Order: sequence, then structure tokens, then C-alpha cells
Amino acid sequence: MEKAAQKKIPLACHFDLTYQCNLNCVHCYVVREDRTELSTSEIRDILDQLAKAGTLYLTFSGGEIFAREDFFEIAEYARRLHFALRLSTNATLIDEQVADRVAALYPDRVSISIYSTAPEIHDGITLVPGSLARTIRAARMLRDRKVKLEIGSVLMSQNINDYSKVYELAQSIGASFRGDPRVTPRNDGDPFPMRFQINEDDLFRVWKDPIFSSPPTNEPEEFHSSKDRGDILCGGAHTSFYVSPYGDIYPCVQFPTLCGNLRSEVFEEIWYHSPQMLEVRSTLPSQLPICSKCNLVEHCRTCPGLAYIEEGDFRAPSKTVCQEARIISDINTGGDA
Amino acid sequence: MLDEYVVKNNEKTAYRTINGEAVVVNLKDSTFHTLNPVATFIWEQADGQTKTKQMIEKICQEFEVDRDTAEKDCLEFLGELVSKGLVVLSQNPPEG
Repeated sequence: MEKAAQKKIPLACHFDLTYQCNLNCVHCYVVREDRTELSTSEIRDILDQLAKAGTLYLTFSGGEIFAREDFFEIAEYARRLHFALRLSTNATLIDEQVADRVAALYPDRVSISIYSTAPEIHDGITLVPGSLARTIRAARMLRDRKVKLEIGSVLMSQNINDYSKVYELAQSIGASFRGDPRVTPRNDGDPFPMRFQINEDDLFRVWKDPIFSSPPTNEPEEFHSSKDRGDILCGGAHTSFYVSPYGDIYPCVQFPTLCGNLRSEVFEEIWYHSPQMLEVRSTLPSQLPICSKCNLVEHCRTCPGLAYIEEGDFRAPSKTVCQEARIISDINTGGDA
Repeated sequence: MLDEYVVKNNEKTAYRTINGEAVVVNLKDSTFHTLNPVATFIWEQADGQTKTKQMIEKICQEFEVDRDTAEKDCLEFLGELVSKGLVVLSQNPPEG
């Protein structure tokens, strides 16, 4: 990982294949634009470029990936290029035949979003009745085909009391669990989702829970703490990047500073020479005017993307991140809420 | 004889070769492996047709070593790659 960061190898890509989705989750940060999404042939060409540049981990997400009719054509092409494929999905469009094809891809992981084991709460977040039942049914189909599963849950005021049950559900189907209490604005800065952010008392309770105390394993392309990062802000623009359904390149899915577009530029040119990418890459933690002097740095899950969305400046502190750091610091130093 | 075995990359892997080093992900358990130059060479030869005997000869040429050294290195690294689930050995290549 450190070698990849030193050599600026674009090891991991989050590729949103589409912003189309059959659900309507209230907290979704995606902003659809009046532009044509990438075609199958455009995506194949992009994948060729990414493979040549050294990208190994490829996460397909959206929107909903199975909403694309050409999804398996794209995914099978990606596997022929020897990518380690990760899929993020709501799983509601997975039936037995789709589950067979997913298993045949040998994905490194399939991440499925489940917000609660109570249908009225989960479906109240997705705004689609019956979505929870379809998701769980699909998760079991994939489990039966020995697909490695992760259940992901964004913790919000609606479902904050349910995450332990979702964790138990994950365990019962042999899936790992990733819960995240961080709700973020939409990528255009619209703060609408923030109304669902849990309060400080609940944040304290969550961060104190052993379910959240261990970092994920088998994540060689991620940095787990500020100590791991050394002299870089985060993996974005160093070892990871984001591709939108329109071919836009950002350092990260939630760091929407446009670095280039793959419809008009070559990937390696953007990765190694885009002014925006270079600006992010060259900024050291020690150069952040406020954060570099903060005594909470060792407890901080820094996110320049969130700072960019909240403050318009990736060098600024993010209020969301600062709040987390204070709580984690209290926990680590033995304080109470 | 071990040197008559055919070597093939396990299809349940993902990989890249960057600056002469192969990085391989075993998709069964998500483990990440960085291969040294000799192991990378073996990995790139593991096409399901090449026998270990031929690999040893190629290692001699590529790394300018004697046959005994090449055979020792080849079998040692093959053993590692097999134990990590990254390659499979078979006695006969596929037809055609």
C-alpha cells in the first residue's frame, strides 16, 4: 500500500456505472444530471485504460448497477481484464439467474445495503414497499452460491436503534457488516440528507459499540488511521479515484472536484497531470491551516471531500468530521457522553 | 515427474504486473500477494500450457542462472504459489 502511494499507482477505482436506481433512498447523495451516461463501448475503453494504468480494485456502484441492461457485459469484460471486482447494490433486482451470473464473476465482495430488519423502517428509507424482503432474499441467494457478502448500513435517526439487529442478520448469513453513522450532504452541497444525521448522544453510543471498534480487514487499498496515512490526506488522488456515469473523474465519490472527463481525455493524462488532481495530491496534512494545529488529529477520520462539500474548501475542517473526532477522543480518553 | 506438470493461474484471482512485480488477489479469501521477480516470471508463464520443465529452462535464460538453481527456485516458488491458492498444477494440458 505504501509503495502504491509513493509511486502514485491508481490502485483502486470506484466506478458509478449509472445514477439510475429503482429505489429512492431519502439520504442518497447522488445528483443526476441532464447528460447521457457512458455507453457500453465507452466503458470498455475506460476499463482498458484503467487496467493499463495499474488499477486492480474496481468497485461498480451507482445508482443501482443492475438497472443497466449491459451490466454483465461490462462486468464480464472487467473480469477478463483481471480486475478484483466489488459490487455495491441494493440487490432488489437479483433473482436466481442473476445470482448465478454474479457468482460466476468471482467478485471480491458484494456489498448490499440494509438499513433495518424492520420492513417499515427499511422501506421507509428506500421509499419502495417490499424492498427489504427482496434484498434479504437476494442476499441469501448469493450466500448459497458462496459469494462473499458485506451488509452496509448508513445509520440515521430512523434506524439508529436497529443496527445491532442488522449486524446479527449479517452474521446469520455469513456476511461482514459495515455500519457508518456519517450522513453527508448531496454532492451538489444540498444539505437535505443532514436532517437524518443522528445526535451526539447516539454518535457516542455507536462509536463506543464494539461492533464499530475494529477496522475492516482485507482492505489493502485503504488507510485505516491518520497514522497509516503518513504524509497524505487520504487515498483519493494518491491510490484511489472515482469515475462518474458521465466519465467525470474525481479524487473520490464524495470529493466532487472535477479533475477531467474520460470522453475527451485519456485516463493517465488526468491521473498524472490534471491540475486539480495534482493540487489534492500535493497538499500535505501539515499544510492544512486549522487541522494541522488540532490536538484531535490522532482521533480524526479526516475527509477532504466532506470539507469540500460542506465548506467549498478541501483544506478546511469538516464540521461532521470534527464532531466525530471530539466524540472518538472522549471515548479513547475514557470520557463519558 | 514434477517437471512434467502444467501450471495455470487460478481463475479465481485478480492481478496486475506493475514495474516488474505482480500483485495478485486471491478472490477466495481476498488476500493480497506481492510476487518477487522470479515468482512474477513464473506467474506470467502460468498459461495452462507451459510445463514446469519449460519454465525452468526459461528461468535459466531470463535470469542467467544454472539449471540446478533455476529448478530449485522454480519449484520453491511454485510450491508457495500453490499453497497460497494462486496457481494450480495439472498433469496434462487441456486439449486443443
